[in-house]
Amino acid sequence: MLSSKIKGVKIAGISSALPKNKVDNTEYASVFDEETVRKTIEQTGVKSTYHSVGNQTASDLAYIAAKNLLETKGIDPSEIGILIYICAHHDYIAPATAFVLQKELGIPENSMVFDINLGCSGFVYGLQVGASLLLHANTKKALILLGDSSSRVVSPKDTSRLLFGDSGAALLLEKTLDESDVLTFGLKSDGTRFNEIYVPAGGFRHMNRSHELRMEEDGRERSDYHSHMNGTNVFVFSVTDVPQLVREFMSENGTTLDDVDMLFMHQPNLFIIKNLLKKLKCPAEKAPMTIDKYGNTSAVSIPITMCDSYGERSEGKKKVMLLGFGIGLSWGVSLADVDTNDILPVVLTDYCFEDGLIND
Amino acid sequence: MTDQEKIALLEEAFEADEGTLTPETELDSVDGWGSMAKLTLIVLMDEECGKTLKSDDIKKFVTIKDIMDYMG
Repeated sequence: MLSSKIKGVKIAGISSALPKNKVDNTEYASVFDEETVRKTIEQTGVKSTYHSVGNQTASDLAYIAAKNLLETKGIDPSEIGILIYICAHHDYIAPATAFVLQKELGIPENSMVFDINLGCSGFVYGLQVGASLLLHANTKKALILLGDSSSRVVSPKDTSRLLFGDSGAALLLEKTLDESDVLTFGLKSDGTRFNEIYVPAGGFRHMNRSHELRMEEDGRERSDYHSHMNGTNVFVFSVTDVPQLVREFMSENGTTLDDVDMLFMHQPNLFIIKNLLKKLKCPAEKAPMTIDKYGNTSAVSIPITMCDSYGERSEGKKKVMLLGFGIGLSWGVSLADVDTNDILPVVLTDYCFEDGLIND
Repeated sequence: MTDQEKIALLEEAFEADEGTLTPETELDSVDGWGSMAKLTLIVLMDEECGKTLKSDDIKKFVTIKDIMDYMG
């Protein structure tokens, strides 16, 4: 486990955004058979998701989340010195999407702006990277933006389509230099399992594959441009490697789940969540779930679950454990203090950035 | 664990009626042998036998006996 303890940086705000287009999973009965849809909803726990339409991307959702956060907190974009965008689905092959977000948000050039290509572990990693950089730069505020456009990379003929939703989120970090503001991390990565969740084509290694759907070994129809996942091995990873990391982290930091007010974990599907909680011996009431209404929103699932829990009702300060795990494979856990007054409600948007680059 | 106990656990995991599975039963003929049953089997193997089952192991299973042998 890579361990990290950062003192003097705090979480100063969290916000999330969804596309306006809500998809009720029962609508898929026209694509897959009714029984398959019923069973999938029952087993995954996902009743609805939100999908972007037209050219709207994850960065549009992250932008709205960030704009909402800055406006609500009364922060001028010129105060932001670090902007990181975490997403596995970027707007362009190049440049990094963070530059588009910088332009849209009006963050000045005296800043550090870049992307991180991560998925479900992205919130924990973004918190660590943002807080680390903040301590060693002449700026007090960092904006970590997260987005996911999974609905675009799952084949229309793959029942996984019922699981994934699009979303965006923003995390504001503030340098306080107060020793009592502590963020603790335990991180792991395993590149030997890079192809347990992957999209093979569309990058530079496999540029010209057929877009035609074909029936694959696992009984799902897709092309090489669609998301591929070894569900069995990802499940094993989720219920063995992930709780092992949490145990290691708690042992190293002399803490238990009793010391934590809430556990906000990635929301992959209900079956994994239930089994993971069982493994962690964590009572369900300590681990809020949003898998039913938003689906699996990758890097955004932790912040959106926090917004869902506290956006409408503040409960003062909380000690939270954050647990993200997924594509990479990558997994991370963090302990942090958060003032729930700084957590905003989820907003819906149909905003779309018009780049003017390609006009048919 | 006796063979009877193993079969009882597998019947529960695959939502099969009691007494319907035998060591010779081929998995492809079991109605409940789908992706969720495989995940349930992983949990069962972990909790009841302390073994980590991967997708390559599952692919090798042809009959109920293959799973019983893996259970040890």
